Amino acid sequence: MIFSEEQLERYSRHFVLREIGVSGQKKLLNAKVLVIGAGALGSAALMYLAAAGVGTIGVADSDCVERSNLQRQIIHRTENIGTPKTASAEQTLKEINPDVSVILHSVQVSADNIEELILPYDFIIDGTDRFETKFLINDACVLLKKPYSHAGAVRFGGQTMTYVPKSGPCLRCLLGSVPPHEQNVSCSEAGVFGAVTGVIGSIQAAEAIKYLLGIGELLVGKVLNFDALSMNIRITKMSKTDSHCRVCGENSDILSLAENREEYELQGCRACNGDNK
Amino acid sequence: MINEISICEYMKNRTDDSDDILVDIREKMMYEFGSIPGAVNITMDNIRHLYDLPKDKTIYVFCQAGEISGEIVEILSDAGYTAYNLIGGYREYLRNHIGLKEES
Ligand SMILES: [Zn+2]
Repeated sequence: MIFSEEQLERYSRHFVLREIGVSGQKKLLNAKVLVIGAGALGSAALMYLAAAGVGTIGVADSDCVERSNLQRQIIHRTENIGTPKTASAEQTLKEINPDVSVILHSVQVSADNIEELILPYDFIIDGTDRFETKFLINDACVLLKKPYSHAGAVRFGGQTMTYVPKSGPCLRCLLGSVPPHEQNVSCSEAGVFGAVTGVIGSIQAAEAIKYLLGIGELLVGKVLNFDALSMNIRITKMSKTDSHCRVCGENSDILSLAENREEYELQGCRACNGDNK
Repeated sequence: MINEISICEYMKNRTDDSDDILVDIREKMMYEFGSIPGAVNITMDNIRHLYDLPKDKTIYVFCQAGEISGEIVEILSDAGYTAYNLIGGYREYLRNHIGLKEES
């Protein structure tokens, strides 16, 4: 490919990084990454992916921007309150880097549409905040053999792990199944510190880019925990794939999303409907 | 694969009337401090000026160690230039240049 003069300037700091260089930039421009959830984690991830020149970026979200989102969802602007998050995100991404083609999926991901949604992409980023959706994304990625970045953030803490098929454990290996609602504290009353989601979302973008370029060490089989109050960062190694895992284990019984549909359906927590990302 | 030759090979074959273009991509300060005679300076900050180079001439590119210049040669080759990376870079040039002086 021939870089334009604008591209030479834009990516010059990548060209001089030995691990990226001109060939790495070409790979990024040809890569496709899907971010599910244009909320707080998704904001940071999307903006760094666009700035880095990931050529095709999918944004999946069905919500509209609300004023209470703006404290942490930095991809959205005050002027975009009331507009779909996908369109709002697209506007910012295009402003950051017009090279990027942004594909909007203004739908709520479900067991019925997620496989078709993720299939064209090289890497998936989970920027959602409900365990039901996280398990849906996990199981879909495992079944379709797609690498993805899991993350979550609540209050002053965040965590992230990267799943690569055949290389390490999945979210279900770690947590088993969707936790009961009492422990599922990702609702609006829990609150979340904006900068934490920025740190974790940025790590997710870094993992996606590293995967696409085949460089460095991924958080595969490792859970990174970050606490902004103590500034402790802890990485916990997880054993190899749990052979009892219901989706990626030897005797897995989740063979299709449809048959496990109930677990992915949102339970309770209707109070914070729409504003808890 | 990109075109490349060692900087010593290049210096050996270079004649006073060769009309190829030698590009030093190191920072301006380093270029001003000392470069290979005849080299023009295009830094990463002026990277768009790569495309101002004439396409009908052979371009030789060097940096300090010969790594980043390889990236520049890839960009030029993609854009239709005949370009070579000078392996070893300015560091190797200095080593040789001084070596030759001592021999004579
Ligand atoms: Zn598993």
